[in-house]
Amino acid sequence: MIGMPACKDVAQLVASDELTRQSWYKRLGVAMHLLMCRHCRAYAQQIRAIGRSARDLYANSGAEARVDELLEILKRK
Amino acid sequence: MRHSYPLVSIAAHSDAEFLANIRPREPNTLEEIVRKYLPQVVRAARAAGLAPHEADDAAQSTFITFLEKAETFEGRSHVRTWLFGILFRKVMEMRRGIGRDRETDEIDDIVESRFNANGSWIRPPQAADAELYARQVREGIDDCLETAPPKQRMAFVLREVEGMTTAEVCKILEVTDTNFGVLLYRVRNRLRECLEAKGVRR
Repeated sequence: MIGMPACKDVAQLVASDELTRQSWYKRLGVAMHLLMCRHCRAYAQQIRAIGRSARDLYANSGAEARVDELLEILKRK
Repeated sequence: MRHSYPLVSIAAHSDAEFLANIRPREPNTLEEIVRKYLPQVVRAARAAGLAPHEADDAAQSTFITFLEKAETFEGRSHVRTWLFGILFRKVMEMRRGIGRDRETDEIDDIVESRFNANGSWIRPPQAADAELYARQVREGIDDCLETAPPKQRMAFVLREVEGMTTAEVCKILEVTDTNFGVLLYRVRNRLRECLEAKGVRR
């Protein structure tokens, strides 16, 4: 179809987070492509799942931060 | 593609008057900055690949540097942007040698090889059911993150773990938005390919 992006273009836009900065026309083409292409749908879902997993994995990594200790150090400087 | 996480608002800490209070080292303000941002800085340092004690050291030294430079602060940037810029430079020093950030990256060719001349998939992603995929990701993501060069990994962390906007990440990493897109494209594909390779070996 004229105006529809190829899978390679869709993958590039999805992985680079550049999709939101495209024209409405381009975004429409991508949305239509995703409706029709299960491979690109799977790819986009995988990219999202990877981001979610990283977020979950590190969500509590800052909880043990030693705030009072650092404040003491900074006050002495 | 909409982000499903809340992009953290930084409006509260960019008021020029608020920032001016840092220079005379007004204690309440400094405490507020440390309480609010130390956990985020530690989290990002861990996500960037530093071990717990390394992350604590890097975070501490980030705030010490921040305080030392506060006198020269001109209020053009936001406190959080500044803090993470300092952290980024420290992470780059500490993670030097874990893969090099270069102009070209072999991941580009690997991804390219999945498409034919018309841009259609010839080796499409291995589709697993969502729950199975999530489990595979959880099990493999730590190892796969280790293969990412530090700047790519930082781009990924600031976007996905810290939820920062493109504008803020670009200031922190000192890259254009196009470069940031390239970094994200490379690190995400690297992770996806690595995870798929692990899945296949089951």
